[in-house]
Amino acid sequence: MIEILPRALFLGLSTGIFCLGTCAPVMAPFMLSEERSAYSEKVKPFLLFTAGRFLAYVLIGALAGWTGGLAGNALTRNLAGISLLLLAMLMVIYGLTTGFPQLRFCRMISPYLGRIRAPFAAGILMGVNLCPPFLIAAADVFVMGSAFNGAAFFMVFFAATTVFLVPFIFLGYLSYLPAVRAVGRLSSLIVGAIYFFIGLNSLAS
Amino acid sequence: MPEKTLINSHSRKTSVFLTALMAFLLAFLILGGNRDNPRMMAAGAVYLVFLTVITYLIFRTGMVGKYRSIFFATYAVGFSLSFIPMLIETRGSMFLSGEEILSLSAPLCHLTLPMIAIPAVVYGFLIFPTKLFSEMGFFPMLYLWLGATLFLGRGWCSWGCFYGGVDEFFSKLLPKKIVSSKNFNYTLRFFPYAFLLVIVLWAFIALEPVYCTWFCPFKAITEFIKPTNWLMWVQTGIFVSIFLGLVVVLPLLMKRRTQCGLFCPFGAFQAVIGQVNPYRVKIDGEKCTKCNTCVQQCPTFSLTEEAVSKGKSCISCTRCGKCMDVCPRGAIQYSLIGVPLRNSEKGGGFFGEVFRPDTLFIFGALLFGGVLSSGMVSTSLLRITNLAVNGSFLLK
Amino acid sequence: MADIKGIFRRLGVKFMYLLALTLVFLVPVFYMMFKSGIIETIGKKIPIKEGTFVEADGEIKIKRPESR
Ligand code: SF4
Ligand code: SF4
Repeated sequence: MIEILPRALFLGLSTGIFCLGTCAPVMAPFMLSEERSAYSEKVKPFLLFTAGRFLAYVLIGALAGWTGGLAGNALTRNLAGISLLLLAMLMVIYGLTTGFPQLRFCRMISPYLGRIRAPFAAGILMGVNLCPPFLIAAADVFVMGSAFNGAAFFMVFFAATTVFLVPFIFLGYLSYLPAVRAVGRLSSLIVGAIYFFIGLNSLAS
Repeated sequence: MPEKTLINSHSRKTSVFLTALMAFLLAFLILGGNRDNPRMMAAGAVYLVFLTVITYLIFRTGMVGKYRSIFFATYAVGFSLSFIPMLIETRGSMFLSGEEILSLSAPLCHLTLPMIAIPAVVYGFLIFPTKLFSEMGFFPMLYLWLGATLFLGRGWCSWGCFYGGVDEFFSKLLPKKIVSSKNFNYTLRFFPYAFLLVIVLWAFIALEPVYCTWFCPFKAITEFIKPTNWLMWVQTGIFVSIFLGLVVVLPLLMKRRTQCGLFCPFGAFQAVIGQVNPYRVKIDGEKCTKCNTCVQQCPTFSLTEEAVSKGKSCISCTRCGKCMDVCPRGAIQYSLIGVPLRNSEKGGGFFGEVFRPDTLFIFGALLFGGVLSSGMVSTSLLRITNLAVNGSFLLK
Repeated sequence: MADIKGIFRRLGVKFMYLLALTLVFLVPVFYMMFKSGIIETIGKKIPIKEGTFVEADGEIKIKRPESR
């Protein structure tokens, strides 16, 4: 069991730059969109997102280890497609409510959005999404055939890849500029639209 | 002669001097490169005359926005008229085929630079099918961009970009605007920056020039992949609608450069990086009466009420000169960072006029744009002559 | 104190004008260098390669950490 952990660590560190690339389109808008003064407030979206990812990784890891197979079958692909669609909707709603709060729709929906904590939800959805490094990690877990090992493997993998996302905290400091916030909100809309298309596409094929 | 003296105008003596100097430099740079091709030489000479006239009109009248716009639109028309027939001559159609991609012979344009930068640094590869040193390859384009950034900043978008001229062309066609921008939501002008952010990250994940594949409206006047499956039809639909909507219809209706001001991610990139250029457009708070004429007319939505009260244009300003043309009080001017605003009532004499920030900027910008455009406009002139004589745009 | 500040400000203004003038002079130099082959000389030193594209779908061939 112990010997698989260095492997998870190494895998995480070597593919982390991809995590950076994959998570950046989702993280960046959240970090940029809202003005937060206190330091604890600045890291909050980062922590929420990370917590969401963590939860998703452990769950998927346990599931993959337990069932001994995940990738390749139709269920996972559909899961990825659906989570992308949900993520897309979340991003669009987030972008609309923060960027155009005067719209009727936005006034209706924003109380609910506050309750689900958008970055956390995005973290979960992003986590169950099968980005390339995640897929290789999952492939390793299949052969282990144990839920506990799978979860442990993914925890280490999570820790190693998170290192690469830390720079995003500094993006939070830019959000004091109103222009940067506007850019963050609009980019959330664009990312949402693109993910929506990709999600539909992956469900259709 | 103009009825009122504009802030950018010059005395006759200074204008003649500046025009002569410009004509000399242009002749040296444009004609010097074509010494072995008499027909190009002749076409270049015609264009040289055109540029000289434009130079004189800009300096003498001070209507920078107006006469620059004639130059800029001519440039864009010249670009289209020389580039499309050139593609048809070399490959038979505007379609970019698989062989061209495999042989890396797609011409690169500046819009791709922000996208290919990060993968180039991380992996040491170009993610665009172009050669490193070919005529429209990576390094020549990079060099050109460095120069444009240094000399013009985002002024590139009003003095150098052949695509921007297309937008400008359509925004000038109708005499009056049909859709007023009174209720325009100024949040939208942040769209290009957001788009840039997404495009750059996405290109890095996909290792593909995603802007070119999915969005670039200017594929409509250059080259594009022939659609063969439904996904490609979606891509074609997207770029054609963006072209028609933001480059043709909205500029016609609003008389603004909607593509450049509200969409182009390279424009956003250039706005940020272009801050290294020392020129700025500033507004004299003492003269300005907050009439908002300039806010209503800035082609790229770079002036807001907030910006006017702060006394400077937003970073997206393309230094086009339009606001200076229309300001009834002459309160807006080209300026240099850290240099106090110029008092336009003072004449300043010959040297005073030559060493004015606006004079220096316009001279450099026009020289840069003039030489850059000369090849394209000259070839298009040859093609037009050929059309009149032999009935075809194609020279071969 | 105010005097020194004034001197620096005037020096700054002079410097900006000088910079602006240099930029104008550099434009012709820029185009002359363009033709002189300096791009090749410098470009060859920069370690960037042309992308290679796969025949089947025109996709770029770059070794990525994952093996898809
Ligand atoms: S905004 Fe884009 S298309 Fe418009 S002039 Fe600038 S670079 Fe060219
Ligand atoms: S602020 Fe003035 S110079 Fe700048 S783009 Fe707008 S009209 Fe042109």
